[in-house]
Amino acid sequence: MAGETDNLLLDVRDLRTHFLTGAGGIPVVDGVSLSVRQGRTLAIVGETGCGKTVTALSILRLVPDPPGKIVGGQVLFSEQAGSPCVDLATAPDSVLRRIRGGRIAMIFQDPAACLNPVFTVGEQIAEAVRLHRGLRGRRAETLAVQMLERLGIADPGARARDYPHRLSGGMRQRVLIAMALACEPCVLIADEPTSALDTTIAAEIMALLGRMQAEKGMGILLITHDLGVAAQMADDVCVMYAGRIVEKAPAKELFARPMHPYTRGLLRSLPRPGHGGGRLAAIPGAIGDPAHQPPGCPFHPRCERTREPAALETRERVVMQDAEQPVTVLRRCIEPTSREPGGRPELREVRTDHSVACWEVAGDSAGAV
Amino acid sequence: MAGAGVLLFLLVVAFLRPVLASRLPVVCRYQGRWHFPGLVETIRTLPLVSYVVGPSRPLGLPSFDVRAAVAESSSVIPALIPYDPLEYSSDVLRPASRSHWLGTDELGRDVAARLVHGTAVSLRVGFGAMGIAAIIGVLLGACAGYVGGWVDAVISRVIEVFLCFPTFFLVLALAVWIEEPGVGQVAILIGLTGWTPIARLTRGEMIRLRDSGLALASRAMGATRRRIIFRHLLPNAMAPVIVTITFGIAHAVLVEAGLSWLGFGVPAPNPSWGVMLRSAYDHMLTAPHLVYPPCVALFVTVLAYNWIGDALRDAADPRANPAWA
Repeated sequence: MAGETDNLLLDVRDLRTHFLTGAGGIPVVDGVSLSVRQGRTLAIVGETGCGKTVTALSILRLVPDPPGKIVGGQVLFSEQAGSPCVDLATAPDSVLRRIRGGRIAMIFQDPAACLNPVFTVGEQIAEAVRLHRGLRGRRAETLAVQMLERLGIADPGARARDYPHRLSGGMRQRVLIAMALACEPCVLIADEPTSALDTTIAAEIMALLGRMQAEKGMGILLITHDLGVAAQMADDVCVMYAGRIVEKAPAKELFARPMHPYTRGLLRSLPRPGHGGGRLAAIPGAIGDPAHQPPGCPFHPRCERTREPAALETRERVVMQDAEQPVTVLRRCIEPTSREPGGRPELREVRTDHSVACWEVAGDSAGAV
Repeated sequence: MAGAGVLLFLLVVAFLRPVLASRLPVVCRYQGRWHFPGLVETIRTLPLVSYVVGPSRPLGLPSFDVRAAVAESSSVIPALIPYDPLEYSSDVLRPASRSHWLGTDELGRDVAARLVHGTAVSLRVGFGAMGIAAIIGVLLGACAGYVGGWVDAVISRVIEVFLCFPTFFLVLALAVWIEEPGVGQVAILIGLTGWTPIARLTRGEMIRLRDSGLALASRAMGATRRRIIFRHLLPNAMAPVIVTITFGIAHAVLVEAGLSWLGFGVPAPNPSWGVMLRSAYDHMLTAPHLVYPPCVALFVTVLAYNWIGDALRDAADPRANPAWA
């Protein structure tokens, strides 16, 4: 992406998180770079198992260790644009604890699992406030009630005295957001904040996040598998596949001109008005076991581009023994020779601010759909 | 509910023992002034009060024969059972009668009075022992479960070593080293050997919670490890642990009775149920009435704790409630 570093809050560079199990490490996050800017939203999209959650957890070093371990890369965080950076990947625990929740807050997918069933929600918000803003006793509780009110919870005083099991899913997620925002963080990491909610509530929560961002000017890192949510919320979008970012662009550009075959497959699989009653297009297969990734481009077993008959007729091809059946793919998609170190396609800027990790796309002229 | 009722009754009996069974009258008029020695004694023997007031002091009341005082004056309300548990008399091994409700033992002591005071010993040992066991067990179990790694390995091995010995014999072996065992020492002994089931259960619960969203959310909030363990996770782990502690109290009561029966527990003149059983056993053929009171008391007490434990377990287990099934 272009080098505007003026309002950079979080700059993740070549982050690698491996799960160390048995023989060698399994690369779950494999060289991810992204940046979160003040007042902007970056969405990471991808299907289950592509490493988006582990990326988010790695930023705050929350990956369970063992087995997870950050084996490389930097997570540079500066509280304000231009102020000195801390590398969260190597910072001491005490520094990290102050940042966790206080400067970088996180909200999770399942609000029911994240709230403590034995404390009232008011106490839980107040505890976060006490921990990070140094408020004591009543003042923290008052702030907790104010936060609930600002998040649109009716009768916040009474709700603050309720235990989590008495609240609905949407209210619980609001409580978690209240908890996260009460400490006035500068970055909010939202890991699938609406997956556990039904659609109307999800839309409300998203609108709420947008409003809070406009109010506080924080940067949001939004992890989602829902392209609709990404399109609605995000300024920039990263598409992840098998632990790597395969396409990165401003949201408008990405949705108007998707280039990576994976991104295009994802977009095609969305239901569309006027689509009629036919089956939705799906990407065949699933992300493989990260311990056994195919050589070359990790997406090639599922990629339609490499298997297009037209492409195969004219170019050198290779027959791969896939799990189920032999597939014929372009040789250039699996041959690591004379390519990037590691034998994987690297992100390449093919248009302004638009990068793609695909040898086929990067080789062709951009925009050839 | 029945269990809770019995426990409440035992607590009341234990706390009111100076009023229920004592030579001191509850109220008396002596040399022109009203005295409430029984009530004063009740307050003085409440837990912790004796630390504030100081050790047992004479109540400013010269020793006098309550029965004689009752005979002389009408302004004395004696205790319900007007005997001290250690008060000897020449009426030995008498069966139940109007003056001794449950008879007297081989030294002429009133069995009912000893039973009432034995309640306090039993409760103190039960709660004291399990209090100590719970503190040790929960602390070690929580650390082992959450921290994992070598901490877990070390604590788990210690637990296993303790579990290798039958608890009773471990207590017995340790009891030999204590010269003048009192109620407190016996409770500490039982507590020091009885923490393993609590630790194992807490460890298991903490392992479950360590990988929950709750732990992750607390870490993401920037909470310290100690705070996560003791404030966020432990309260969620306590339900099954409390059930175990309740059963543990019943066990501690039995172990204390067994120790006292063998002569290693609360020393002889003290009115422990185990000590009473011992002397009853010695005179079983000549005075069978001595056997029943401590037996029934032990039976009912242990049964009550087990009922409470069962009820708590059912309350903590949503699947056990047919209304929700």
